[in-house]
Amino acid sequence: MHQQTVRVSVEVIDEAKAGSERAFGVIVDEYQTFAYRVAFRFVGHAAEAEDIVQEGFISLWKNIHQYRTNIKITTWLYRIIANRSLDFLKSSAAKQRKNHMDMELGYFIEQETTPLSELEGKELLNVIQQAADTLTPKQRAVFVLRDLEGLTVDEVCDVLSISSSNMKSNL
Amino acid sequence: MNCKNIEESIFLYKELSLKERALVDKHIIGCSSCKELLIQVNHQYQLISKAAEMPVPTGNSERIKFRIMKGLEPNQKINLLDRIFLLFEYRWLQSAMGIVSITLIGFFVSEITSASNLAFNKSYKTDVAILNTQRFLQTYIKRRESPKTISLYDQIKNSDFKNSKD
Repeated sequence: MHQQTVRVSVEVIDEAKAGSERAFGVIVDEYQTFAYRVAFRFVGHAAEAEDIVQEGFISLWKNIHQYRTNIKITTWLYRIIANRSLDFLKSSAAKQRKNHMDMELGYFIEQETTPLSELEGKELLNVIQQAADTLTPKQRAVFVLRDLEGLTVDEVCDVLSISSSNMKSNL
Repeated sequence: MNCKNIEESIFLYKELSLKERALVDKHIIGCSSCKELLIQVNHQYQLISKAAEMPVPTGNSERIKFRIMKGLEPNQKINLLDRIFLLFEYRWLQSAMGIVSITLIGFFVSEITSASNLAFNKSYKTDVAILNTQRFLQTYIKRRESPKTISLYDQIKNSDFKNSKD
Protein backbone atom coordinates (compact mmCIF):
# COMPACT_ATOMS: atom_id res chain seq x y z
CA MET A 1 0.00 0.00 0.00
CA HIS A 2 2.84 2.38 0.78
CA GLN A 3 3.93 3.52 -2.62
CA GLN A 4 7.62 3.21 -3.45
CA THR A 5 9.32 6.52 -2.82
CA VAL A 6 11.17 8.14 -5.69
CA ARG A 7 14.44 9.94 -5.31
CA VAL A 8 16.40 12.56 -7.12
CA SER A 9 20.13 13.00 -6.77
CA VAL A 10 21.61 15.44 -4.29
CA GLU A 11 23.22 17.31 -7.18
CA VAL A 12 19.85 18.05 -8.75
CA ILE A 13 18.52 19.31 -5.43
CA ASP A 14 21.58 21.51 -4.95
CA GLU A 15 21.12 22.94 -8.41
CA ALA A 16 17.48 23.68 -7.69
CA LYS A 17 18.48 25.37 -4.43
CA ALA A 18 20.91 27.49 -6.42
CA GLY A 19 17.99 28.69 -8.56
CA SER A 20 18.05 26.32 -11.51
CA GLU A 21 14.54 26.00 -12.91
CA ARG A 22 15.72 23.14 -15.10
CA ALA A 23 16.75 21.15 -12.03
CA PHE A 24 13.46 21.99 -10.34
CA GLY A 25 11.70 20.70 -13.42
CA VAL A 26 13.39 17.35 -12.85
CA ILE A 27 12.05 17.34 -9.29
CA VAL A 28 8.57 18.17 -10.59
CA ASP A 29 8.76 15.29 -13.08
CA GLU A 30 9.78 12.86 -10.35
CA TYR A 31 7.26 13.83 -7.68
CA GLN A 32 4.30 15.23 -9.57
CA THR A 33 2.43 11.94 -9.80
CA PHE A 34 2.99 11.27 -6.13
CA ALA A 35 1.77 14.75 -5.15
CA TYR A 36 -1.29 14.51 -7.37
CA ARG A 37 -2.21 11.12 -5.92
CA VAL A 38 -2.06 12.46 -2.36
CA ALA A 39 -4.01 15.60 -3.26
CA PHE A 40 -6.66 13.62 -5.11
CA ARG A 41 -7.09 11.27 -2.20
CA PHE A 42 -7.66 14.27 0.02
CA VAL A 43 -10.09 16.27 -2.08
CA GLY A 44 -11.47 13.66 -4.50
CA HIS A 45 -11.71 16.14 -7.36
CA ALA A 46 -9.29 16.51 -10.29
CA ALA A 47 -9.44 20.29 -10.72
CA GLU A 48 -8.85 20.98 -7.03
CA ALA A 49 -6.12 18.38 -6.92
CA GLU A 50 -4.34 20.11 -9.83
CA ASP A 51 -4.58 23.48 -8.09
CA ILE A 52 -3.22 22.04 -4.87
CA VAL A 53 -0.32 20.36 -6.66
CA GLN A 54 0.52 23.58 -8.52
CA GLU A 55 0.46 25.66 -5.34
CA GLY A 56 2.39 22.98 -3.49
CA PHE A 57 5.28 22.90 -5.94
CA ILE A 58 5.42 26.68 -6.17
CA SER A 59 5.63 26.79 -2.40
CA LEU A 60 8.38 24.16 -2.54
CA TRP A 61 10.28 26.33 -5.06
CA LYS A 62 10.07 29.40 -2.85
CA ASN A 63 11.36 27.53 0.19
CA ILE A 64 13.76 25.10 -1.43
CA HIS A 65 16.79 26.97 -0.12
CA GLN A 66 15.74 25.82 3.38
CA TYR A 67 15.62 22.16 2.34
CA ARG A 68 18.06 19.81 4.09
CA THR A 69 18.86 16.40 2.66
CA ASN A 70 18.29 14.68 6.01
CA ILE A 71 14.55 15.05 5.37
CA LYS A 72 12.91 13.22 2.51
CA ILE A 73 11.34 15.37 -0.18
CA THR A 74 8.27 13.15 0.05
CA THR A 75 7.90 14.13 3.71
CA TRP A 76 8.12 17.78 2.75
CA LEU A 77 5.59 17.31 -0.01
CA TYR A 78 3.27 15.37 2.27
CA ARG A 79 3.24 18.34 4.64
CA ILE A 80 2.69 20.92 1.92
CA ILE A 81 -0.01 18.94 0.11
CA ALA A 82 -1.74 17.95 3.37
CA ASN A 83 -1.83 21.53 4.66
CA ARG A 84 -3.16 22.93 1.40
CA SER A 85 -5.70 20.14 1.10
CA LEU A 86 -6.89 20.76 4.65
CA ASP A 87 -7.20 24.47 3.90
CA PHE A 88 -9.34 23.62 0.90
CA LEU A 89 -11.48 21.12 2.79
CA LYS A 90 -12.17 23.73 5.48
CA SER A 91 -13.02 26.40 2.93
CA SER A 92 -16.48 27.34 1.78
CA ALA A 93 -15.71 26.16 -1.77
CA ALA A 94 -15.32 22.61 -0.54
CA LYS A 95 -18.58 22.77 1.37
CA GLN A 96 -20.42 24.01 -1.71
CA ARG A 97 -18.93 21.29 -3.88
CA LYS A 98 -20.05 18.64 -1.41
CA ASN A 99 -23.63 19.46 -2.15
CA HIS A 100 -23.20 18.46 -5.78
CA MET A 101 -22.71 15.01 -7.17
CA ASP A 102 -19.03 14.34 -7.60
CA MET A 103 -18.72 13.78 -11.33
CA GLU A 104 -15.17 12.56 -10.84
CA LEU A 105 -16.57 9.17 -9.99
CA GLY A 106 -17.41 8.92 -13.67
CA TYR A 107 -13.68 8.64 -14.26
CA PHE A 108 -13.99 4.98 -13.47
CA ILE A 109 -15.79 4.13 -16.66
CA GLU A 110 -16.73 0.54 -17.02
CA GLN A 111 -15.58 -1.13 -20.15
CA GLU A 112 -16.64 -4.42 -21.55
CA THR A 113 -13.15 -5.84 -21.25
CA THR A 114 -12.62 -4.65 -17.66
CA PRO A 115 -12.07 -7.60 -15.34
CA LEU A 116 -14.71 -8.13 -12.69
CA SER A 117 -12.22 -7.81 -9.85
CA GLU A 118 -11.09 -4.46 -11.20
CA LEU A 119 -14.67 -3.23 -11.39
CA GLU A 120 -15.29 -4.36 -7.84
CA GLY A 121 -12.14 -2.60 -6.71
CA LYS A 122 -13.16 0.65 -8.38
CA GLU A 123 -16.62 0.42 -6.92
CA LEU A 124 -15.06 -0.16 -3.53
CA LEU A 125 -12.87 2.91 -4.04
CA ASN A 126 -15.92 4.98 -4.90
CA VAL A 127 -17.69 3.79 -1.76
CA ILE A 128 -14.69 4.57 0.39
CA GLN A 129 -14.29 7.97 -1.23
CA GLN A 130 -17.93 8.77 -0.47
CA ALA A 131 -17.52 7.57 3.10
CA ALA A 132 -14.42 9.74 3.48
CA ASP A 133 -16.49 12.76 2.43
CA THR A 134 -18.41 12.46 5.69
CA LEU A 135 -15.27 12.82 7.81
CA THR A 136 -14.00 16.07 9.28
CA PRO A 137 -10.93 17.55 7.54
CA LYS A 138 -8.57 16.30 10.21
CA GLN A 139 -10.12 12.82 10.33
CA ARG A 140 -9.87 12.67 6.57
CA ALA A 141 -6.22 13.71 6.70
CA VAL A 142 -5.45 10.91 9.17
CA PHE A 143 -7.41 8.41 7.08
CA VAL A 144 -5.68 9.36 3.81
CA LEU A 145 -2.18 9.44 5.25
CA ARG A 146 -2.39 6.39 7.47
CA ASP A 147 -4.82 4.07 5.76
CA LEU A 148 -4.43 4.95 2.09
CA GLU A 149 -0.85 6.17 1.97
CA GLY A 150 0.38 3.70 4.58
CA LEU A 151 2.27 6.07 6.84
CA THR A 152 2.96 5.09 10.44
CA VAL A 153 1.46 6.90 13.40
CA ASP A 154 4.70 8.80 13.99
CA GLU A 155 4.95 9.82 10.35
CA VAL A 156 1.36 11.05 10.30
CA CYS A 157 1.98 13.10 13.45
CA ASP A 158 5.11 14.56 11.86
CA VAL A 159 3.32 15.51 8.63
CA LEU A 160 0.30 17.04 10.33
CA SER A 161 2.26 18.49 13.27
CA ILE A 162 -0.09 16.95 15.81
CA SER A 163 0.46 14.87 18.91
CA SER A 164 0.03 11.11 19.01
CA SER A 165 -3.02 11.37 21.25
CA ASN A 166 -4.59 13.95 18.94
CA MET A 167 -4.00 11.68 15.99
CA LYS A 168 -5.48 8.65 17.73
CA SER A 169 -8.59 10.63 18.60
CA ASN A 170 -9.10 11.18 14.87
CA LEU A 171 -8.84 7.52 13.89
CA MET B 1 -6.76 -3.75 30.75
CA ASN B 2 -10.36 -2.64 30.28
CA CYS B 3 -12.31 -2.52 27.04
CA LYS B 4 -11.78 1.22 26.56
CA ASN B 5 -8.00 0.81 26.49
CA ILE B 6 -8.25 -2.24 24.27
CA GLU B 7 -10.44 -0.41 21.75
CA GLU B 8 -7.69 2.06 20.93
CA SER B 9 -5.18 -0.75 20.62
CA ILE B 10 -7.53 -2.61 18.27
CA PHE B 11 -7.56 0.32 15.83
CA LEU B 12 -3.75 0.42 15.97
CA TYR B 13 -3.38 -3.38 15.95
CA LYS B 14 -1.12 -3.57 12.93
CA GLU B 15 1.36 -1.16 14.51
CA LEU B 16 1.47 -2.77 17.95
CA SER B 17 4.53 -4.55 19.25
CA LEU B 18 4.34 -8.31 19.83
CA LYS B 19 3.96 -7.72 23.56
CA GLU B 20 1.11 -5.26 23.06
CA ARG B 21 -0.63 -7.58 20.61
CA ALA B 22 -0.35 -10.39 23.13
CA LEU B 23 -2.19 -8.24 25.66
CA VAL B 24 -5.00 -7.58 23.20
CA ASP B 25 -5.19 -11.24 22.19
CA LYS B 26 -5.38 -12.24 25.83
CA HIS B 27 -8.21 -9.79 26.48
CA ILE B 28 -10.38 -10.81 23.53
CA ILE B 29 -10.33 -14.43 24.63
CA GLY B 30 -12.71 -13.48 27.40
CA CYS B 31 -14.43 -10.47 25.77
CA SER B 32 -16.72 -11.18 22.82
CA SER B 33 -17.48 -7.53 22.02
CA CYS B 34 -13.81 -6.62 21.67
CA LYS B 35 -13.23 -9.75 19.64
CA GLU B 36 -16.04 -8.75 17.30
CA LEU B 37 -14.61 -5.25 17.03
CA LEU B 38 -11.17 -6.63 16.14
CA ILE B 39 -12.67 -8.80 13.42
CA GLN B 40 -14.58 -5.82 11.97
CA VAL B 41 -11.55 -3.55 12.08
CA ASN B 42 -9.35 -6.15 10.39
CA HIS B 43 -11.96 -6.65 7.69
CA GLN B 44 -12.22 -2.90 7.24
CA TYR B 45 -8.46 -2.56 6.83
CA GLN B 46 -8.46 -5.36 4.28
CA LEU B 47 -11.03 -3.49 2.20
CA ILE B 48 -9.15 -0.22 2.53
CA SER B 49 -5.89 -1.89 1.54
CA LYS B 50 -7.53 -3.29 -1.53
CA ALA B 51 -8.96 0.11 -2.44
CA ALA B 52 -5.63 1.82 -1.83
CA GLU B 53 -3.97 -0.45 -4.35
CA MET B 54 -6.30 0.70 -7.09
CA PRO B 55 -4.68 3.19 -9.45
CA VAL B 56 -5.55 6.78 -8.73
CA PRO B 57 -6.13 9.16 -11.65
CA THR B 58 -2.86 10.80 -12.63
CA GLY B 59 -4.30 13.95 -14.10
CA ASN B 60 -2.84 15.77 -17.08
CA SER B 61 0.81 15.76 -16.03
CA GLU B 62 1.98 17.98 -18.90
CA ARG B 63 -0.59 20.63 -18.12
CA ILE B 64 0.19 20.51 -14.42
CA LYS B 65 3.93 20.85 -15.06
CA PHE B 66 3.32 23.75 -17.47
CA ARG B 67 1.27 25.55 -14.84
CA ILE B 68 3.91 24.93 -12.19
CA MET B 69 6.86 26.12 -14.28
CA LYS B 70 4.90 29.14 -15.49
CA GLY B 71 4.18 30.14 -11.91
CA LEU B 72 7.79 30.05 -10.78
CA GLU B 73 9.33 33.37 -9.91
CA PRO B 74 13.11 33.67 -10.20
CA ASN B 75 14.50 32.88 -6.81
CA GLN B 76 16.12 35.93 -5.29
CA LYS B 77 19.72 35.60 -4.28
CA ILE B 78 20.16 34.80 -0.66
CA ASN B 79 21.76 37.75 1.15
CA LEU B 80 24.80 37.46 3.37
CA LEU B 81 22.84 37.49 6.62
CA ASP B 82 20.60 34.64 5.46
CA ARG B 83 23.66 32.65 4.38
CA ILE B 84 25.13 33.07 7.86
CA PHE B 85 21.88 31.93 9.48
CA LEU B 86 21.71 28.99 7.10
CA LEU B 87 25.16 27.89 8.26
CA PHE B 88 23.78 27.42 11.76
CA GLU B 89 21.37 24.81 10.45
CA TYR B 90 24.20 22.36 9.91
CA ARG B 91 24.21 19.74 12.67
CA TRP B 92 27.99 19.57 12.96
CA LEU B 93 28.19 23.30 13.57
CA GLN B 94 25.41 23.15 16.15
CA SER B 95 27.18 20.31 17.95
CA ALA B 96 30.52 22.14 17.91
CA MET B 97 28.97 25.31 19.30
CA GLY B 98 27.24 23.28 21.99
CA ILE B 99 30.51 21.70 23.07
CA VAL B 100 32.28 25.08 23.13
CA SER B 101 29.46 26.61 25.17
CA ILE B 102 29.51 23.80 27.72
CA THR B 103 33.28 24.05 27.98
CA LEU B 104 33.13 27.80 28.58
CA ILE B 105 30.39 27.44 31.17
CA GLY B 106 32.42 24.79 32.97
CA PHE B 107 35.48 27.02 32.89
CA PHE B 108 33.65 30.01 34.34
CA VAL B 109 32.00 27.91 37.03
CA SER B 110 35.34 26.49 38.07
CA GLU B 111 36.83 29.98 38.18
CA ILE B 112 34.03 31.30 40.34
CA THR B 113 34.28 28.29 42.66
CA SER B 114 38.02 28.63 43.15
CA ALA B 115 37.75 32.40 43.75
CA SER B 116 35.14 31.90 46.48
CA ASN B 117 37.36 29.23 48.10
CA LEU B 118 40.27 31.68 48.06
CA ALA B 119 38.28 34.34 49.90
CA PHE B 120 37.05 32.08 52.68
CA ASN B 121 40.05 29.80 53.07
CA LYS B 122 41.79 30.67 56.32
CA SER B 123 44.98 28.87 55.40
CA TYR B 124 45.87 31.71 53.08
CA LYS B 125 47.48 34.64 54.99
CA THR B 126 46.46 37.94 53.54
CA ASP B 127 48.83 40.61 54.66
CA VAL B 128 46.90 43.13 52.69
CA ALA B 129 43.86 42.73 54.93
CA ILE B 130 45.88 43.50 58.11
CA LEU B 131 47.76 46.80 58.05
CA ASN B 132 51.00 46.33 59.97
CA THR B 133 51.62 49.96 60.96
CA GLN B 134 54.74 49.16 62.96
CA ARG B 135 56.44 47.71 59.96
CA PHE B 136 55.09 50.50 57.81
CA LEU B 137 56.57 53.25 59.99
CA GLN B 138 59.76 51.45 60.87
CA THR B 139 61.77 53.31 58.31
CA TYR B 140 60.73 56.69 59.68
CA ILE B 141 61.30 55.70 63.28
CA LYS B 142 64.85 54.66 62.47
CA ARG B 143 65.53 57.91 60.74
CA ARG B 144 64.26 59.95 63.66
CA GLU B 145 66.32 58.03 66.20
CA SER B 146 69.47 58.34 64.15
CA PRO B 147 71.63 61.34 65.40
CA LYS B 148 73.31 61.93 62.06
CA THR B 149 70.25 62.81 60.15
CA ILE B 150 68.17 65.75 61.08
CA SER B 151 64.77 65.76 59.54
CA LEU B 152 63.59 68.73 57.64
CA TYR B 153 60.91 69.28 60.22
CA ASP B 154 63.52 69.49 62.98
CA GLN B 155 65.55 71.94 61.02
CA ILE B 156 62.61 74.20 60.51
CA LYS B 157 61.60 73.90 64.13
CA ASN B 158 65.09 74.74 65.40
CA SER B 159 65.49 77.71 63.15
CA ASP B 160 62.11 79.11 64.13
CA PHE B 161 62.92 78.71 67.80
CA LYS B 162 66.24 80.55 67.47
CA ASN B 163 64.65 83.35 65.54
CA SER B 164 61.94 83.78 68.06
CA LYS B 165 64.44 83.92 70.90
CA ASP B 166 66.39 86.66 69.23
